[in-house]
Amino acid sequence: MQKPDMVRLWILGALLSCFSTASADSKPSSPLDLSLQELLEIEVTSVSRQAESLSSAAAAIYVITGEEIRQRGFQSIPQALRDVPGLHVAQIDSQKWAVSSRGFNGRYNNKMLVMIDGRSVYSPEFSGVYWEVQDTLMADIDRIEVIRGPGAAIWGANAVNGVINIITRHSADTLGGYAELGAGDYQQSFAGFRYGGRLAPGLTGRAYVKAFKRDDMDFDPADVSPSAAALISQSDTDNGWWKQQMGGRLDMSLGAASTLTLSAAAYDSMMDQTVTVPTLTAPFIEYPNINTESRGWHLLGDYSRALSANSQLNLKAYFDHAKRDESFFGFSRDTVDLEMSHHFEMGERHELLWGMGYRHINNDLDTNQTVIDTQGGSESINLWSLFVQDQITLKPDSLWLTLAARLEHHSYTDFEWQPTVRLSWQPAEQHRFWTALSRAVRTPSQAENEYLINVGNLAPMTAFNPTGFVNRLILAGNSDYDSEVIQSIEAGYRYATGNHFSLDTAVFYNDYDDLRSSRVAETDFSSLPTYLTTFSAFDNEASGHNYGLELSANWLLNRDLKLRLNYSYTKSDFSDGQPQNTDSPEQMVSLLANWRISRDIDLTASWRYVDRSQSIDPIQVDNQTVDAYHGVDLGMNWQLTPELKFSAFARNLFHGSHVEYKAELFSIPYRVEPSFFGKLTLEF
Amino acid sequence: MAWRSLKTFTLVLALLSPSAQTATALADPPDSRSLIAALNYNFAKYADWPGEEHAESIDLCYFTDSFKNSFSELHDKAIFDKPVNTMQIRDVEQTSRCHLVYIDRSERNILQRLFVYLRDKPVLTVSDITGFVDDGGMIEIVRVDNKFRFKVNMSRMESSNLKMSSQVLKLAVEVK
Repeated sequence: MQKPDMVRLWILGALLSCFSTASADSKPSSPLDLSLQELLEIEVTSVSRQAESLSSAAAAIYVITGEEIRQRGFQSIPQALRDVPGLHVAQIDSQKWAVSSRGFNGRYNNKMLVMIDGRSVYSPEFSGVYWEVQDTLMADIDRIEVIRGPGAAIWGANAVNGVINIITRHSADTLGGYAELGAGDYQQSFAGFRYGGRLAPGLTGRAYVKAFKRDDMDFDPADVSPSAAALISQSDTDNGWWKQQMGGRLDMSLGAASTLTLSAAAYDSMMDQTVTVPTLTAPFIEYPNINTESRGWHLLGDYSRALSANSQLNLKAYFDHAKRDESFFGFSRDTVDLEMSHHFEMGERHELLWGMGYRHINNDLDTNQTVIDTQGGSESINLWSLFVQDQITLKPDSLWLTLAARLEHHSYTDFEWQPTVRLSWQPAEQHRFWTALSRAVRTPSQAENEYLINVGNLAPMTAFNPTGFVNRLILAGNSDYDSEVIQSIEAGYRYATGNHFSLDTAVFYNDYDDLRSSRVAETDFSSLPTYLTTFSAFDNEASGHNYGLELSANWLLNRDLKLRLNYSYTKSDFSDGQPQNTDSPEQMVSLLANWRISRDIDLTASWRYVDRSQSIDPIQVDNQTVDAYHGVDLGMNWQLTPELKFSAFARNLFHGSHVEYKAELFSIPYRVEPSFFGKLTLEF
Repeated sequence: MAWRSLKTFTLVLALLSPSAQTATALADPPDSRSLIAALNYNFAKYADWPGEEHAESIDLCYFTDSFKNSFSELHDKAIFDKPVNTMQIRDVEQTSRCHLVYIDRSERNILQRLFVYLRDKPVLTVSDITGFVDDGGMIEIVRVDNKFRFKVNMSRMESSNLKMSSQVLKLAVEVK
């Protein structure tokens, strides 16, 4: 470089100051024209006004951000999942929810894996999720990732129709105090408090407590048969509940290369519920209102170490205890889970992830007249797994192939093989295509393997029981019962133009085999003349397929108004008489709007439509139908001072009271109604 | 080091020019990501890299798609006589080609690999991840009362042979 002389230097200096004078006269249009000092004076108004960038995942993925959770005032995880395209989320009663993706919804939907910070909350007793006790301080959720379609190659068995990953914020991002307090009609009262701090350089932590009380939902006699209505009217139909939870998290840097996260939580909940109990004398069923306590705690450690620029080792371990004191389905379960994974790059083209895991579950079932454990109440399940994934760059920045597989060994079903092949293509900056072929399994629950469940008793001399004796119907677990299998083909397309519009679509075809079926295995006459017993055993004779389309479109109309349309269409074709609900509502639509009306006030609105859905009744042969419904949610957040925010929310407006879903066993239907609550949030 | 003193001189001139201190408001409130890109541009302006005078361009790198738009606004900028080049990178090994790398909050999980790889390499690391300068990063963008501030880890910069103008250090909320 030539040495500049003083003259040139001065000319340059003069030009520079001319330029900055000129730009000061007309206000600069870009922050790039500002000096550092000026940049530090600018108030940061919003997090971002840009539409989100396209996901590069070769899977149908949808993310609910922490910001959205706080803005829309979601007070529970199922509420936050409501408007995700392709998810059917329905409230059963004050506590219970049915959440599924691409069909198979139910209180005991068994085809979706749910994890909180890498800890599985999928229950092995019945294969499914007790949504009512899966909770954290909602303000501490960083994001919820919903992956529709099989995710078993990476996440493991039971990720058949989807995976939900709930990820909480790093404790360095929750420094300071947070308090919330609210009240309403359904959300009778709730309070939460968190404090986070820096304990030492490289060590941050937080602790929280929360508690809430939620009101009963209404039972309407019109939703059941007249005979059931007459019996239920003699009972209490309370289903209100309260829950309290506390927890915390520590994040530490161990030198430059390693980090360790420790987290823990404990909860206690008390729920009223009206349940169905079969009896041997007329009217052969009772509807007692029982009080159920559910408690649990967990401890999780996650260690990560960088071995080099492109190699990282992760070790994760957790212990989880869950207990449910329920007169008909009580249990006490301990889970220990260990996982190691190693992520590294090999050459320019291969990004590898491999790992292994071990899970030990010990479960004590409370035997009672409805649910009996044939193995004497205590059962251990061991699960070993080995997984590997290779993401291959076929063409830099445009074409990727992912090969992944997981091999598992489960106490009930021995070896399970769950592979996937995914291809992702980005022909141009704004277009992405992907396609995937996968196989996944749903492993048997303890109920299917070893429990006896008295699902109902048939009165003598009736259509289904022409004998002169009471017929006890027992669903019997079968140790030969095998995993259900899905083979799925999916494809997707994503498009984004500028900052103003983006589109994410997916289509799928799922082929299911070895689905749960039941057959009359044995009739036991030994208790005659009091009753006879018909045992139905589970086996794997059912099959079917479904296909559909899901869509999510985002518009940024201007910098203060954002619209989103989520839509799904699912068509189901399954063999008849399956002892699980296979069908999804054919169409579901959600239209969401976020409007920032001023610096301090924002409004949210959502309208949703859910087509009619099916639920099963173990005694009735035919499925029951739940009518289609729609509803509107509204929300308002008003930042009163930099620390204090007032929010008001209304839910399920403009469709009166209606049943959203009927549980398949043990429950009576309840009605969802319009509800309102207000909330104060203080950050300090 | 005539080149370096010339660069310092012109920059100080700009910093001291009266107009630069009066224009505080923008016609349109900027997106937070544009502000972050502008902060990175300013850090690069006042940093000195070994051998900078021989570089063809000043390369500013970022990881995620969400910063593509805001960083691409820098493409016709120059730092003294060098054009600014912005680059989206996908893995840690690419950072050695950068003068500055910005790591946004969503990339917290690569930090350890990044620190292991960049140890003592002359790459200026900037991030809005809380605790970044404690963990081994160089400049941490923080938010105080809804305005951006920054912290500087000078010892980390020095061990990587990077220098930062004292004008910038004066504006930092913390220098360690």
